[in-house]
Amino acid sequence: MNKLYVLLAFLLVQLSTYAQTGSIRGTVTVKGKPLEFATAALKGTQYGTTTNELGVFELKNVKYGTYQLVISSIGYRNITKSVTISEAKFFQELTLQTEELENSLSEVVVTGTMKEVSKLDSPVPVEIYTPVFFKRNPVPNLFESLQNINGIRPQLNCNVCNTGDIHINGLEGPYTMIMIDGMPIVSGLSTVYGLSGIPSALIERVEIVKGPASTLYGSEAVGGLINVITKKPSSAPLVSADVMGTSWSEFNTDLGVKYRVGEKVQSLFGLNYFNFQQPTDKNGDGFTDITLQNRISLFNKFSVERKDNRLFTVGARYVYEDRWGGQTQWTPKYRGSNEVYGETIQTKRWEVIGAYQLPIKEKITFQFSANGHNQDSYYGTTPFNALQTIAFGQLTWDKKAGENHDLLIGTALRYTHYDDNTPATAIDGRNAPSVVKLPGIFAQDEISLNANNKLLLGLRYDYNSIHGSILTPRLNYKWTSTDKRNVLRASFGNGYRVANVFTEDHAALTGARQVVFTEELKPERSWNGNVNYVRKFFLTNGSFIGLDATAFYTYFNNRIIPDYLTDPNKIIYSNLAGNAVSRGISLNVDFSFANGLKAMAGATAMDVFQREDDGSGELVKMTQLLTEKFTGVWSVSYSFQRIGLSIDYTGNLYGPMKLPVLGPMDPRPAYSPWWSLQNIQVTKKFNNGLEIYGGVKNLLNFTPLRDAIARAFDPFDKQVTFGADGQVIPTPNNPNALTFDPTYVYAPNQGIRTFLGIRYNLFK
Amino acid sequence: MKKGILILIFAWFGLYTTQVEAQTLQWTSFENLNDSLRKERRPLLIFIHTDWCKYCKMMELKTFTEPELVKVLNAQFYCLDLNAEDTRTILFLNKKYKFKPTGVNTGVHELAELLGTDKGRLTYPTTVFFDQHLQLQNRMVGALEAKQLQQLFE
Repeated sequence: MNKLYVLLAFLLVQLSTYAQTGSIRGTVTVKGKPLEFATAALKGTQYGTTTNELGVFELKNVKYGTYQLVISSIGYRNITKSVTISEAKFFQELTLQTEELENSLSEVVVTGTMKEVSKLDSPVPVEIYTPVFFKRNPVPNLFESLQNINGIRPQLNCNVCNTGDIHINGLEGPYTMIMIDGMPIVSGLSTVYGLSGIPSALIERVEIVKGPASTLYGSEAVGGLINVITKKPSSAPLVSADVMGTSWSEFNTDLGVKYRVGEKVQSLFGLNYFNFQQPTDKNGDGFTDITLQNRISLFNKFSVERKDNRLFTVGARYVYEDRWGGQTQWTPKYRGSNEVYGETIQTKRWEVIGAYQLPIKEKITFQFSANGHNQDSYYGTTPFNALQTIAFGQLTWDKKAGENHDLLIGTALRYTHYDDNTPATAIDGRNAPSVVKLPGIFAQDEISLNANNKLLLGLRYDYNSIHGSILTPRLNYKWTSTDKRNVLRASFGNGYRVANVFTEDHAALTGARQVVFTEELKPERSWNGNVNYVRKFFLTNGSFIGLDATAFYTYFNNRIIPDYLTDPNKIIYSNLAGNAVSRGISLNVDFSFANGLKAMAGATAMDVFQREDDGSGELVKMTQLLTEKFTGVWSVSYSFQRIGLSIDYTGNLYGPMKLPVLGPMDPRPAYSPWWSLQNIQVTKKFNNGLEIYGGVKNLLNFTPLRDAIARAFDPFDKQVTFGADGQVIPTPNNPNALTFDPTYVYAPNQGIRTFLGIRYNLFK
Repeated sequence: MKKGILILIFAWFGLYTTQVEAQTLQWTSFENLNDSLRKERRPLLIFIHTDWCKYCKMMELKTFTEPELVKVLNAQFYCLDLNAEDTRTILFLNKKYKFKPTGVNTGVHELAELLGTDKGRLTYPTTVFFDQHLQLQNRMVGALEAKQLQQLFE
């Protein structure tokens, strides 16, 4: 930069002419046409200028001597020519020809780097998280890292098999859509696998929309969307590796590679391997505390370079997982037996997603997604084998209409084939796989009303081959203050989905309770509204404070909620005779201080309940099970720039949640206590791309009740006496009239543990 | 309860609408750059950023509003604002650069890659400087404060 001012000073030098000088004039051309704005400079001197519209430059008052004249312009080949200015040749006239080049620029000095979290300039409230944020509490996959985000909770659905689900603002996983680079993974079964296998070194950012987003993503995505955006070839490391282990003998490996296939195809490859094979029973209930797992996920994304930079990208993923939990003496030979209790799930899943822009002038893009999910499992003696295949295609046409309208019109078709061994896919005792075809059309218009106001209107119509017409309107509005420091957003829309109790509710499979349907289940319908306000403060000392407040409200006029309480031996599913509500407020505060301290804190207070007809025609309010009224999340980071050391302290706080107890005699508390998980980490960065990190997880050593699993010693209810009506009769060895039940779960059974890891990133 | 929050929010807006705007930075558009350069050769400052990057916003809203710095930049530079995810084709010094999509609604602009890539990677924000002879002189990665920029010009 000093150079720049030296060159400015050169203008002054020009004024002080003296005798012993000459000048150089030249014309620079490309294919016979003049090249404007090319730099002409004499190497190693301060003489420099640029060409004019005619491609002509003139260097005046050049002292006698021999120089290297360099002509340069970004994107063109440099020309170097030796020029001598002397008494005999004090004026030189030159013609120089250059040619267009592949782009390249030399590199210059770098200072520090800072980058992280923000919201997009869209009427939809999008939250952005970069890997820097997730690294503060390293976990084996993206699914678990979401616990660090306010309003999002990865929920454990099952005490034994530990399978999970993502809750956004109190709405369950199936209401959330997962995408990779804007391409939806259209799935019904085990959406969480959509978050595995992409190493964080290949993730540029994760966008999260809470509440209804665009109509583009279908009628289900009313809870929100999670869009994983991979790094561009220009920012991804050539090779990255991350290996971590914990004192519980959990091992995780991530590998990322960027490579080219021929001239035209750029590719990102990711591999994740997670292994936990140490049956551990610290709470002494005879059951594994944490499910044993062996999981490998492979991910590859190809981007094809096309004419006019048209889009063509295809991603593929394969996940294989083998997990089991249960009595610690379980071995595979007990699979499905009634001697030793175990829950064992083998999952094979493949996915292909892609987008192809048609080679025409209009921007029309074809998106596709296909996946197959195969689950082979036993929950005790109950087998559950499910096979799901989904194919999805969508054509969208992006069109700017005038200055202020951004139109998007599209049509989609989704085909779902689902088969399992439960009565859900059987008619009169014969297997009848469910086949659903879901064609739809949609249109949306993003209107820039003026510099401060934006409006997004959308409408979607789908036709479900079983349930009929589905109409989904969406409305998003955004106001920005003139100084851009205040943003207010509001969104409104509805959701529609068909519940699949067996795939979404693992309790239905544990065999501990009988599954009862009192009627045919109808689709769930909901209306959702969100208001969000963001405010930024910049303090004079270079510190930044961001505030982000949201209020949300969802109203369901039908919701399929499992009823655990009416009969402790049953799970009863029926349509809701009444309505259900999920409402709440959340607040996020984000500090970045100039001295290197960063802090983030968020809290959500919510109320999720249903109002149900108690039989007398009156609606009775009932709080939803397994849903807390308060959650808090925080992270504090401090980095010692000079020695490359940083410290992160992260934590979560959860309020009490109502738990499924087995009737009035169950000694287990009906509500969970307040509980908190807190972690600390130290990271040391080396200059060669190496990073070593380590720390302690669950500092407070919080674990749930020892007897969270009812009658863990008798998982097949062999010593339970049932009365004539099927009710449990209290006996001396079963004074509380319980049955085996692993559904009472609110926190992971994993106490304090240490971890250590190493990361390596090689940039080209 | 909700009403109360809304009232609070609007009261807050009220407080801030009274703030007085200082002299703002004049961003030159890429469309107008050629004409501006033909009128007067000046050094260029190109601010490479994205909508989603917090530190970019911080520079935009804090650094580039410091009156002292704004004065210097408006008087002596052409400042260009390059959104690395802009989907429009940009003409810069006689060459056209395009957006390169890498997914649906995501991608990166060729010009941002070309100007901003440093040690094999593009980071946001990155600020690059050209002298008045249109040679790339400096590339600074990361958020810069007004003081840091002013020091450069001294």
